[in-house]
Amino acid sequence: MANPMMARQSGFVFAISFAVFLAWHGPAHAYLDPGTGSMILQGIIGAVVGGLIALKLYWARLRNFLSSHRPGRSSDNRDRHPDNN
Amino acid sequence: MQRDGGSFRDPAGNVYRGNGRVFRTVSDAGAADYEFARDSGFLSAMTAKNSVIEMTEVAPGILGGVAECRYVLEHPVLNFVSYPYEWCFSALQAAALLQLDLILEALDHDVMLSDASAYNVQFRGARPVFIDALSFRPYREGEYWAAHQQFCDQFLNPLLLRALGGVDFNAWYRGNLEGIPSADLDRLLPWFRKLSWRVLTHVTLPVKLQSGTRQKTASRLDAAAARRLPRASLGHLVRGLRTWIAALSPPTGKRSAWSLYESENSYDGDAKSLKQDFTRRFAAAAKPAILWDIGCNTGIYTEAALEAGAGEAIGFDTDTGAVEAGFARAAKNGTPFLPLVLDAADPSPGKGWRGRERKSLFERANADGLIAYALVHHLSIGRNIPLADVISWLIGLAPQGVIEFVEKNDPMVRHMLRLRDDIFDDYNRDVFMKAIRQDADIVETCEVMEEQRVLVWYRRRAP
Repeated sequence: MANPMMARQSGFVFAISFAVFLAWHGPAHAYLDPGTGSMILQGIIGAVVGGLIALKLYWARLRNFLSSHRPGRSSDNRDRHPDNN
Repeated sequence: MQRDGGSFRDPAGNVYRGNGRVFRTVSDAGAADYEFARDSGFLSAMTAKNSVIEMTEVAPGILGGVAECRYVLEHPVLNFVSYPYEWCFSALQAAALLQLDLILEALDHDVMLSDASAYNVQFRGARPVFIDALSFRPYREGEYWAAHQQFCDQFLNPLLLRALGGVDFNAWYRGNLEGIPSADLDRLLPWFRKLSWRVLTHVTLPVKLQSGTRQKTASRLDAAAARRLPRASLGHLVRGLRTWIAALSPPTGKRSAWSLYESENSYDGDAKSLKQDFTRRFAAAAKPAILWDIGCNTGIYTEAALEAGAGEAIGFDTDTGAVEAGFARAAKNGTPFLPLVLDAADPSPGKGWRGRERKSLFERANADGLIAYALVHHLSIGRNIPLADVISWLIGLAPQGVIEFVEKNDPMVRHMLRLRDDIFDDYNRDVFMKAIRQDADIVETCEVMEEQRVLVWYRRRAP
């Protein structure tokens, strides 16, 4: 499994591609205070990182499930936490 | 005891000055946050590293009841308060890195910084120190970095203007108290710069995300408010910025601009060592605690003065390359020298609310020694300021010092007059000496370069 740093990096890149997709629309009127764009961006980063963590948990559960049904291997102590790999 | 004109934004406390001491009040509103930062060990760890200015709790009665407060902290007095629009690139960069390092260290103590104002950083020599003891509060799990935009406006964007655009940030920054807005920088950056994911994340995207209709932006903001930024992501964001900023440099390279000075100046090695010796003699006798060097160039004469007995020096020069070189040397050698970008003919005015939030250069003038070499002709001939006026201004800055006069037959002055009429009948040594004697006594003079130049050591008479 990818190390958490890498996962965060790719999360970041994904967040940005997603945000680029969102961003290039509409006229440039700054109605709200100057910090708004930064807050929305951090929200997107938070959402994408949150999504990745959920995906990692599901992935870990799936691997756990599969390995427990594989003959000759024990599943204990493995993949309790996705970051323990 | 008087409240500092720049201290009113934060309800957590205010700065008071009086009797040569500096105090910071901590109000009821700010007490819990202060106690948290203090008890977490964060404040003492940072002051031990000189990252945050030292503070001592003193009895609130010391202020004589001028302010309602829970605590009073005493800070050591800084000899000079400088502002980001007076800093060179490396100084703003060092301040930015300090700000980011503090956030990372704070997170380790479950502390968060409530703002990211460049005015919260000051310099002792070329070393930055964070001065606002009340910028710290408990970290709330999942919170956004609320000061991200402020950090970009006040630190990142000015640095990018120089590093990516090749334009000095000082004039623009001085024109706008809060720094350089991302929207403006975004319009200036060429498209290929926006292919960088860092430029995209910190400059372009925040601008785009808050453009569009009010409803659209409001709904995006609602969605963002419902989410969390995990602590690891916050750390990642800050570390990414740190790596990026640490690698930024002005496009011309730091060496080229100032090395010209060392090789192209119009006097030879003998003149230089003569001036250094005279400077040392002056500094050893006068022992100025705070020396101002107007037209400091890269600071070679300031260094001579510091070696000989001056306590601390502030330098001013219009040339950012020269200031950059002086700053780099002071940082490397740990000398108490802070060179700043400033035009003597157009010095920093009072700025901000009521023009009192950031003080003019003259409100901050506190030198007790001055050197001004190869400066007078730039003001008198370069900027048409009457010679006598230049001299009375310089003498007004410090009670004693050394001023250099350069004759019209000097190669530099001849160069300045090459393409213009010589309308400067009053520019001569007689007028210069008379102007000095008007306000001061002459302690000693020193002829340099076969009487093309003269150094005059003056001592101001009591008015």
